Amino acid sequence: MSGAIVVSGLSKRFGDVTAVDAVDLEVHEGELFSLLGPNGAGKTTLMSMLSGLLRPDAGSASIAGHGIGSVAARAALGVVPQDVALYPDLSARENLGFWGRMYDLRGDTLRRRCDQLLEVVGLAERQRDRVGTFSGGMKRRLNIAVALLHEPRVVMLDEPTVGIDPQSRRAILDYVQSLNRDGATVLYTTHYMEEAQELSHRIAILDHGRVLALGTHEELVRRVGEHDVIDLEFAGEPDLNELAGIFADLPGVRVDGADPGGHLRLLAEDSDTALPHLFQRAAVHEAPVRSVTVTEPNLESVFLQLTGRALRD
Amino acid sequence: MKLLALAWKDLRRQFRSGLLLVMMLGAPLLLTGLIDLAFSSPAGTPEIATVTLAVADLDAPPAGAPVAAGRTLVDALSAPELASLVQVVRVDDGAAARAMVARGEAGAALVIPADFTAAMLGEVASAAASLTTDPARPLGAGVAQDVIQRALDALTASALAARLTTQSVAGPAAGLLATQAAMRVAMGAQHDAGEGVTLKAPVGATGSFVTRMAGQVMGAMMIFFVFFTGAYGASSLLREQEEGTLPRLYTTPTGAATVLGGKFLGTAITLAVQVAVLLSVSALVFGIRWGRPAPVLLASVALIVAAAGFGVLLLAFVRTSRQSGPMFGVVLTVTGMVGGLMTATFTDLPPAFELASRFTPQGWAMAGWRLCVDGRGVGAMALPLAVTVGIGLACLAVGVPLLRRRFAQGVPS
Repeated sequence: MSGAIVVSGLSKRFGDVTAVDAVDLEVHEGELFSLLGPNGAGKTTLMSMLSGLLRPDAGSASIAGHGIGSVAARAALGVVPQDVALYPDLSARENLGFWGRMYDLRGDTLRRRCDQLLEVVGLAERQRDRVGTFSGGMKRRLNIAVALLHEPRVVMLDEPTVGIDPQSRRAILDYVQSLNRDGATVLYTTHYMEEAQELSHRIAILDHGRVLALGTHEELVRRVGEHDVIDLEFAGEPDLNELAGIFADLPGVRVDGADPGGHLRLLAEDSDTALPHLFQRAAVHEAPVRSVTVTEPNLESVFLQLTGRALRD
Repeated sequence: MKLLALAWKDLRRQFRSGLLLVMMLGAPLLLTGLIDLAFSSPAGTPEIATVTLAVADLDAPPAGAPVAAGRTLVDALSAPELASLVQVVRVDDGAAARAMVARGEAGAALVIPADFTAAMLGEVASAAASLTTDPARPLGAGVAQDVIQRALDALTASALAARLTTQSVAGPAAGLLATQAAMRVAMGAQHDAGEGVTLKAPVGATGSFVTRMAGQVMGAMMIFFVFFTGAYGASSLLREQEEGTLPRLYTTPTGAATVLGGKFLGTAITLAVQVAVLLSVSALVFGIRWGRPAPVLLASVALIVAAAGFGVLLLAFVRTSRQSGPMFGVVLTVTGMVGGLMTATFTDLPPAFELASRFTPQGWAMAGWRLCVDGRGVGAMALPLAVTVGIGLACLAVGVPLLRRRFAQGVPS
């Protein structure tokens, strides 16, 4: 497979802050690739550089074989910005018509693409209405349609589901998948782990401008092992070392650590089997459990392991 | 094509904004309408208080002169048709006439020089009648000036035309006779024995004064609001930046020069539509005569260039669209006032005020339109037109690189 997007040592600083720090990655032709990271991780800055809006301080990148920022790269690229970027006082069709002309579409081709996309995003009935009268979800869908007018080889979507209702969100995710099935290479940024997990062939976890891990969902999860994480919180001020010793000999359970707040972290091969035994031992040793949290291995735990904090912190 | 698509998009957006339409077209027409209404009766006849005109006729016609031009002028001003406008009071000399004005007993004083008839007959090079007006009563002064100027124009124009025409074929002597004859004919002379020469009242003198005044007010209002539209049009760049559509434009295969050029073209077309509508509607509704087509066209182009350029320059110093409203309001109101747009019909303004107006683009634009309304040709308007365009281009030369650096940095052309 060839690289639809190739990024090599790309960096960007804003004053003292390094927003993107020597990022290397390659998105293959026809791949649906997600950049996963919390707010401020550098996802949007990386997207801005790839779409030609920001000049990198170091490194290079190409879109469909063309250097970023070039007319050819921009022609091959459809960008869906994080915030809706449409003209509220123009109708849906007028918006599509205008943006189509900016992508060099004319005449029948432009009309046909407008008709197609209005159908696809479910706005054919409202095509003559001004965008300013649309709901947030409708605007988001039209925002995506604009980027697809010229049938780009590469589509970049920057957190396109932020702040919309579940129904519109589902529609957008389905549409992104169908877009990819139709052959487009998709670069998708999100801070929703579930979206990255559901959509992507491969995922890059980004934090503080650096790629911390990159691979398929399964590859990334394997990094934290295939254990469930059980977090037990005890009432009072228990001796956690003593409690760790109590649980240590339970089959399929391993103590991973403790923290001063009264939490004990355990790794279990099967949390469903282990939990009754854990509660029994705690009761016998008069260590009342205040709360229990079970986390199956997922991208959240990968991020937690890589950064020491939760994805949504 | 992209340039036109960008401009057309901006035009559509701007003409869908009710507020902008009110600012562009409604406000200037409304203000001019109010001025027009203030000086017109419901039947359309102007209602202006009679002006007392103190006249010192010092004219001493050469021996054998067939007419006394000074007396003819005074008789004309005393004609019954003008009685509702001008009441002539004859005094012995200029000092007495001006003293009446100073005491508030007359709205204006006219002094006809001794060689007035001689000048009319071409025996001396020129003679100037002087008019002193009361600055406290600009309207009365304007009426008197308008009536007298028309009478003088009729006298001098017909005499000069006849003399030149006849002299070219028959020599000076015939020319003199022809001049005298022409004056009688052109002035509507009725040479009845013992009654002397009489002059008909200048037809439509009062209407023309109000119309000209309305023209000046409308011109001033048009300039004032066109500059606002220019600034508003330029600030659409800022709004697009904030709405995210400008960055999105730069992700398309469209160069920065095309994007900025399209926006400038959109503003220029908006301004052209605004000027065309205001000129047409005011001509139809208020009967304003804007002047000859070529000067009107050139004055319009100069105004558009200056307004667009000034808007671009102002935008270069504004950070946010929220900031732009108050900033544009203050700067354009102050420069408009200094440029004389609020005092367009005032006469006898201090020279310093006139000088100050020359430091604003609105002042130069107004100077051009004033000449236009007065029916002057392109030649007479050359200086104000050139300076107005020059200011606009200078503003663009400074503003465009600043905007380009700010709104299109790093984006390929």
